[in-house]
Amino acid sequence: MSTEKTLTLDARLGLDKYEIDDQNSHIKVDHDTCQACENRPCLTVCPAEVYRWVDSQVTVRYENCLECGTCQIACDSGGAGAITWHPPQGGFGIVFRYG
Amino acid sequence: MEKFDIVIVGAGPAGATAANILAKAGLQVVVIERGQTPGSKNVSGGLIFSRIFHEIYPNFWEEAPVERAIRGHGIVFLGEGSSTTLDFRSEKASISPYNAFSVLRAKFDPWLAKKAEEAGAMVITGYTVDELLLENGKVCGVRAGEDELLADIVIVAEGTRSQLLKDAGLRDDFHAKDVSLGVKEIIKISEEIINERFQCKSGEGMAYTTVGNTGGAAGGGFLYTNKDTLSLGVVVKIESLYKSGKQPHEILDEFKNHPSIERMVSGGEVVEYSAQTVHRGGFHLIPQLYGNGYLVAGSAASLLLNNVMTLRGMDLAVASAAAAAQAVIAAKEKNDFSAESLSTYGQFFQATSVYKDIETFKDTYSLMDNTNLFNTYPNLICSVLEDMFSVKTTPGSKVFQSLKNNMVDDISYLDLVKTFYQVGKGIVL
Repeated sequence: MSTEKTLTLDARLGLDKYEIDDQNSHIKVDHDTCQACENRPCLTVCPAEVYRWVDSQVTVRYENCLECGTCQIACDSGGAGAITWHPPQGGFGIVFRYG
Repeated sequence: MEKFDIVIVGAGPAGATAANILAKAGLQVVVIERGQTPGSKNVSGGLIFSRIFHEIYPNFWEEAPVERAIRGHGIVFLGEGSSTTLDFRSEKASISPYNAFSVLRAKFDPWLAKKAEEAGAMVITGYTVDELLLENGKVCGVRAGEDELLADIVIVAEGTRSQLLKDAGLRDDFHAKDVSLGVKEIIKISEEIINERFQCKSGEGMAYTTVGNTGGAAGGGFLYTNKDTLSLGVVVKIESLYKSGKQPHEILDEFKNHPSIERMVSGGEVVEYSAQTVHRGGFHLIPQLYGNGYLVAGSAASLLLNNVMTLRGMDLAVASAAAAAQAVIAAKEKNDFSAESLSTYGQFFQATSVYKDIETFKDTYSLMDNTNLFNTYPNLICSVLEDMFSVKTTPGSKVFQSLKNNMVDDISYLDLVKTFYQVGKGIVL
């Protein structure tokens, strides 16, 4: 919880409840396809900054995913179509307490 | 392998409502929800417009966990360091059957699911449906992990992502100009402060929709009062978002730090951060709602109506679910689950007020393509009013001259005329 005027993204994500599946990522990236992408909209649009560009390739912090589905649409529409997003397995992932 | 009359994917307003009606009709219904509890994967603004819910759940506000009855709506134009608000309040809206309620989905959806269970439906939570099972081109059930469930009919009510239909090749790809991203904070603040700040009694509240100050991205903001929290967020088109180069939380910060918004939320404590895709909606974007062995309801069918004044999703979900349920009951009587048999869904849906409203406001779609709406006009309105309310030591001017001065560089008279025409066509005439 915070009364700060502006919260950092990580502080915001820290407020949320997750059941993390530490075995499986529900997000798959085809890195070869991804390399050919010029726009990389995933780096901008994700509200949880799940996608980051590290050492010349995209990294996926799937455990922070808010499950909105924006990355899939942005990647298909404005990127290279390298992302395959599926809902996490039953019971895993974000747990909204307010929604 | 188990076989049911109906399998429903998703226990949101659409899924729970279809389950409720079908169970009451004596059908064997199972709802599969991927959240550990219904509502735990769901995010809305969120306002429920009451009357359509009231038809299906009479006097629901007496027992459902609603937050506040919305007695007032504000439309706020955010300029640079200034704002202009159209503030509408109605006594009628705070008495039965009310107009709208603010809700929090993690609290509200379990109630809907409970009503479906009471009606006789089975609700299974914590299971993700991985795919639709097809046999000879007909949907015949679902697979969740290693479990397969067969059904005469599958109702897809899985929400905005509509993943199962995408994977099964049963829908077109969404375009980033037709889907927005909403990011939202829940801000804890006392009930008394909300009452005072928004001039409301306990149990009644305000809903503000804002335009402007969304970092140049096409979209808007909202602020709804709940019992002892505020729902604050921005909704921006995905295409416009990645073109803006700004991250969603940066746009949210910019919005939240506008002095007029900041004053409304000050002293509050952020307790949750959430995000959800929101369909743009549109008459021409209503997809095929049925096929062999399946029907689609709610956000999974991209149903949304934004006519500037109201943003409706959940009442469209229950109305489409009710129409789908009627079609299922008719198909069950004929024991025919083909697309042709289920096509009555289209007819039942077209007979609803919801469908007619989507048609009436079909021209708001092109209005929302006018990017000046999201930045230039809110600023212009505020700048002209700033001139009008200010007394200077130099001679002032009338409205038209002020408008002319403030329009410089941004827009032409032709743009202005075009906008008047679009607004007129979209929401006036």
